Amino acid sequence: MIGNMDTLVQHLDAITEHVMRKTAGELDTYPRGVTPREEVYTAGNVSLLRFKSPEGVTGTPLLIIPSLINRWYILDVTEETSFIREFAQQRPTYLIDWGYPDEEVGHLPLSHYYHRSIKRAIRQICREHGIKSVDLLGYCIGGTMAYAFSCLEPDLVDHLVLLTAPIDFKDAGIFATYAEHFPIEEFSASMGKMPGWLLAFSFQFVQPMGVYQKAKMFHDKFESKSFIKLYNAMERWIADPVSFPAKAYYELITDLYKKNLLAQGRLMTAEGRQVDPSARRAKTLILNAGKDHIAPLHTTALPASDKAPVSEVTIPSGHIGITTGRNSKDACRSAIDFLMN
Amino acid sequence: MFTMGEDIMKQWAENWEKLMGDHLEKLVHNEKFISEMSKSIAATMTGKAFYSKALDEQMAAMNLPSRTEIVKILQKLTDIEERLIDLTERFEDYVDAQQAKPAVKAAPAAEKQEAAAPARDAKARKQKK
Repeated sequence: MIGNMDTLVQHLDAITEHVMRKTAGELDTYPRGVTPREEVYTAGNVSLLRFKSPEGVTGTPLLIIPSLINRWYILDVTEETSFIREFAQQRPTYLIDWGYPDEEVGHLPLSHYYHRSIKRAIRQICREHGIKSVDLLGYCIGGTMAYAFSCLEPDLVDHLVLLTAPIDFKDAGIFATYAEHFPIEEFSASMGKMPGWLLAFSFQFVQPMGVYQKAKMFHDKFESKSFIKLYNAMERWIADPVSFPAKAYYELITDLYKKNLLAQGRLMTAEGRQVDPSARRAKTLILNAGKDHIAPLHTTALPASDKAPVSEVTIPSGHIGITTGRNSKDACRSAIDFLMN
Repeated sequence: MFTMGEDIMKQWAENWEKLMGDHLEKLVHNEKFISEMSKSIAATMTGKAFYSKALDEQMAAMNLPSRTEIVKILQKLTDIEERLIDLTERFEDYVDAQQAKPAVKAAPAAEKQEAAAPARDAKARKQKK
């Protein structure tokens, strides 16, 4: 039934997209990310993007690991709020675009993404620049993945920024409660992927008044051009959901949310390598959001066995607000200061 | 008069928002509710697995490839692509290492030639004599 619903929703999506294109006008031309970029490497669905920096920008390249749950351009949604644009002004900046995974990668484990894919991207960057290590910035689950990578390959990571990244999944808020009850075995037996529309719906579901409050805010501020620009760009991003590969989703729910293996140093890659926090050496900045309901503050703490130098900055905003809200500039500045010093 | 009506409406909307917000917030955080909803999703997914299996059998009976089989082929192709990427990387690393090698090897070879030079000269001198 869910499979049929999925097909039905895809048809509805296509029809809606068509109608919206006819009626959207200016909205239709909204780009997916605003900073000029080029694709420098692809491997399956995954590609490595290089953002355009001004002439003469040098230094250790920065690789951004976005979340697997949504599209990367939340970090580059408008010129005014773009993290990527700011980073590219300071450093050669790269990003892993996870693309739109479907059932053809449904059998790949989570370690394929947090180890193999990140390693491939870093290899490309190191070959291009003739260097041995890079700086990493991970957002949301991308931060969890960047952290796991820095445990596995300590020599390849110089600085690490964890932007609202859950690491310790014990009491990880509302999503942990849903994960605890989620019928993961039935999911595994019946689905080749976690459909993007279902993930998007679950985010809306846990904030039942979100849509109403958004409509109210729109009513109050629609005469402001800057608000409308950001609102439309955000709507564009929200309407672009991504499916999560089935096996990786199974491992995310069981190994991270239910068993909390990463914080305990017991997470294993598909090749049998232990993700050991005590092996980590990268200087780390925990950049978290005080009102985050997806990665509450205590979930962003690192395990006690992790002895790498760590600093922490808390921004008074929510999980998405930290990248696009009024305090996003502070968050961006903190990350740049950390990377530059 | 109108302003008063507007204020009342505004107050009513705010109260409604707060009441609804509190009620729905409690509901979506209620573990019993989450548990029951999960059971319903589990039943739907079990049904979906059963339906897919039955459909696969129907397709097999007609000698036609099912969606499951096509996905399996796609996954095999993904595995082959992954293997190719790994091999390409290994090959590139090997080529890099080979390109780095002559510079390292050149030095001992030059040393060997220099070491051989006096002996060669001595031999040449002997032949001249």
